[in-house]
Amino acid sequence: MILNEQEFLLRFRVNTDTFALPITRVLQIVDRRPVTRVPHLSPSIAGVFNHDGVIIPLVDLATKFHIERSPSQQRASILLVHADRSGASAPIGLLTDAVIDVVPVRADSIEPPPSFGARTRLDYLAGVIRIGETFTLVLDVDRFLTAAELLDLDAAREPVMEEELVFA
Amino acid sequence: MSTAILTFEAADARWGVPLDDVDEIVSVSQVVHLPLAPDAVAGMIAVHGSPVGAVDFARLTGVESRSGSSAIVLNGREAALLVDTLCHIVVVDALLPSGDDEFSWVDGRAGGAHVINTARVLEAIA
Repeated sequence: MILNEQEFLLRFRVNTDTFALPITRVLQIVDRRPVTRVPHLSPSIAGVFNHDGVIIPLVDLATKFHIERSPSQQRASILLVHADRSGASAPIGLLTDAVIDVVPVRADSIEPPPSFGARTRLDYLAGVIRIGETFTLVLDVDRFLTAAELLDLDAAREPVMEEELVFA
Repeated sequence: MSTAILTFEAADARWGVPLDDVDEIVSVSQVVHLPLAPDAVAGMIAVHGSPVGAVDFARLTGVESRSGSSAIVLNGREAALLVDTLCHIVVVDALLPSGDDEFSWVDGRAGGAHVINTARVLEAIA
């Protein structure tokens, strides 16, 4: 993920953890809405929802990052983002607890995350940035999903509803 | 050749780290959670404003108590060890055999402390 010199980061919370994304990657912020569960997918994929006629898979960031679920998800927001994948781009939804703010940052103030050897998968992070007194985790939206999860996203987008009706 | 060992307490035991492996010691005000980090990693701490991975030393030894207020920052800021109490520096000619092999990352004993091998500690948590 290439970051320009001056970035605007959209910060959001997943329980008490603070994450951020370049605002250029965020298409829209939508309220929490009913999600259709799709069987046999990775646990981090909560299901799909219809947004203006487009089927969009929803990634549950709390499950994905093994973060304890926030007790009050009343104000939950879905970030509609676009992720690049071998040149193609498709929207995905990210389930968050709350959007915090948009902050201007210098791209060179984003530092690499701590590394703990090759076996630890911290490559979901584009980096870490200190904003105020705390660190914000900058998500690498092009790389944070595993190969299995990416395949599941494709599966989730397939309109399988009619076939399901046969078995209903 | 003599070696200086910085001793500290964590998980109700005394440990030592070769002073040559230590960059600096900082007090810890906040540990920021780092999702999907290894179990022994408590999160990140700020060292001069930059993020450094913080190893919960007690958890590394298998104790579930959350350690400390002080952090021993290792050379190159590769990681920091969260410990309960810093003790003192002992200078020894050679390490004594450790007498047990519970942890692969203990090199020997000095001044009543189990002296750790920082490279192997980092391997062990990864």
